[in-house]
Amino acid sequence: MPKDQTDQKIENLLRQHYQQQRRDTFVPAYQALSERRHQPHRRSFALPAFASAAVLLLVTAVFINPLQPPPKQFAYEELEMAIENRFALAADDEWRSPTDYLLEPDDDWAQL
Amino acid sequence: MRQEQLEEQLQKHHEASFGWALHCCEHQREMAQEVLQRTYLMVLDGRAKFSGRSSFKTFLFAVMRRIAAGERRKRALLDLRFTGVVGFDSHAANDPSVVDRMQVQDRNRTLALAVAGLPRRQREVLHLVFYQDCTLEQAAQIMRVSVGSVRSYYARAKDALRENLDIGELRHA
Repeated sequence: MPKDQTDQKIENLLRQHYQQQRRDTFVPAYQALSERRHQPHRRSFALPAFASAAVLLLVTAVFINPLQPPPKQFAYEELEMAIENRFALAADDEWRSPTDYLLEPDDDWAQL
Repeated sequence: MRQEQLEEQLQKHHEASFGWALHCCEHQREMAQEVLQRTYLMVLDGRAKFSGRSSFKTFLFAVMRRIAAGERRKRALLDLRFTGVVGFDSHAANDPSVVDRMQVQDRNRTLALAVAGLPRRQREVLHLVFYQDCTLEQAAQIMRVSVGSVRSYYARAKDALRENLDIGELRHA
């Protein structure tokens, strides 16, 4: 069958099909659709979502604060240095027995 | 356009509008009514304003098509949320229940199946041309695509139907 002829046949079939469909469609009354039906107020999700996001942002900013630098680590290195220095100083000192201090003549006593 | 004129125009095109709404909503009656009502309210409230650049019917159908697309997206998201399955066009088109809802007689059933299997835009063009008696130019304005694209959808739809329909069936047409 030539293409033009089949095209014509298809268009006829489509026309019949859609006209049948149009006849079969039950259309509701215009007034029923154009007037605003009394509907229960639909809950809007936009505002609660916005409020939740704002609260979350506030909590993050106040308590977590991503912009704040991380807390300083405990200064192990400094402590270690301080201990080493302390021991170094102690090593430099001449070791003296506690009794040395007791037996050492006191200038004040000598004067007496 | 004044309120009374808008009302008059809406009433005039009401029947055709419902047919277009049904088509845009995959023949789901309840959804079509919702879409049509929202369209009417948008036009009457002035949220959708008729500028007079096209015919009123073209303007009305373009608004409705847009609202229906939004509604379909919303329902697809709900489907995704509750069932984890997205309702693709092809899925809807091949769904026998969609075809059943088209209320076609047995003689046209093969054609209805073939039409339902076409991509959405091709089906839209066919509906606008054969159901609504629109020209291809009007269909292009409603679908917000170029006339060339509409011509191409129309030609491809006919080619696909020619391939899918039995040649004997065409002889009896």
